[in-house]
Amino acid sequence: MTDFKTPIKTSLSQLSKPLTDSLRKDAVKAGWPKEYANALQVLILNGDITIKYPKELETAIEDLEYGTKVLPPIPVLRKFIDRYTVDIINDIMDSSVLALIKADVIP
Amino acid sequence: MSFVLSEDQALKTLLTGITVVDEKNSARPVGVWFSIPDIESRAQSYPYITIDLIDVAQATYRQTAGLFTDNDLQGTVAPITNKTYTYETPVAMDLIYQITSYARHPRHDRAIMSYLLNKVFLGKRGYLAVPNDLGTETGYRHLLLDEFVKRDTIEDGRRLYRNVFTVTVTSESSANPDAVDLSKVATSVTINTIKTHIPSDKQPI
Repeated sequence: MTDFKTPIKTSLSQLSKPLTDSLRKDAVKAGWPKEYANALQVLILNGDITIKYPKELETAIEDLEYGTKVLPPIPVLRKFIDRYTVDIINDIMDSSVLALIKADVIP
Repeated sequence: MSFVLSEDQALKTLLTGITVVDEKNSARPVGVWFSIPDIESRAQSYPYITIDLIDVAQATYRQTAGLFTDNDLQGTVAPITNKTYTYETPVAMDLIYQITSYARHPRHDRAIMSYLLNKVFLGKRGYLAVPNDLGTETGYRHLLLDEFVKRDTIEDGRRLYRNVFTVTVTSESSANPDAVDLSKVATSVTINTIKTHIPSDKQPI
């Protein structure tokens, strides 16, 4: 039985670091304080992108993302997810095709 | 009007006219503002709704291309002799808006939430009517609810109920910049003239 799971999992796990770097850069560029930007982390779990941040910074980070009564929203997380969801799906597809080729299922 | 301006106006029209009920007022209007209103206006206007355009993204997933010459309204009528219309396929764009409602009263909060979820942002079935400049035709755009978040807070010991809706309006911009007429927009700008309810440490605009 060909193992498709391992190469796909490996490929996706390697994406976490560059995606985290990219998200942090986006946040700083949008005007988020570095303290909050650098606390963001991208995880890929079961093919879904998840953005994680410390519980103690939750209110401050969500206030930046959604705004408050006196501050407009500075959306970074939602834009990031929108942009990269397609990339992740493409990566799963690429990994699947590579696994099929390696297993000689497709020549 | 043109791309962005038309959708902005249509969204404001769609959200304008909501009323809520309480013991003092059986039809209290819910204000609608583009982004956060000036402090002079906001001080006495709960509940209210704000509209923020948070992203403009090219919708490559539904983009087509080509130059069309049409004499049968895209196959919907019999071809009309000597009447043709040539146009380049517009650029598919998605406009992402954040709609936020603010209320001090829990019943107002629930009334607004209920109205918006049942009448305006119907999951993936909502739509936005966008009239043309002449007011003779109306186009309809998808109005898709992407996310709903409850963001209630306490400020100065008082409750502030906030609902955040992230929505996508499917749209398109012209592929021919020369065809876009912006001369009709922004011929006048109304600046807030209210000078009451300004905190002592702020200046009127």
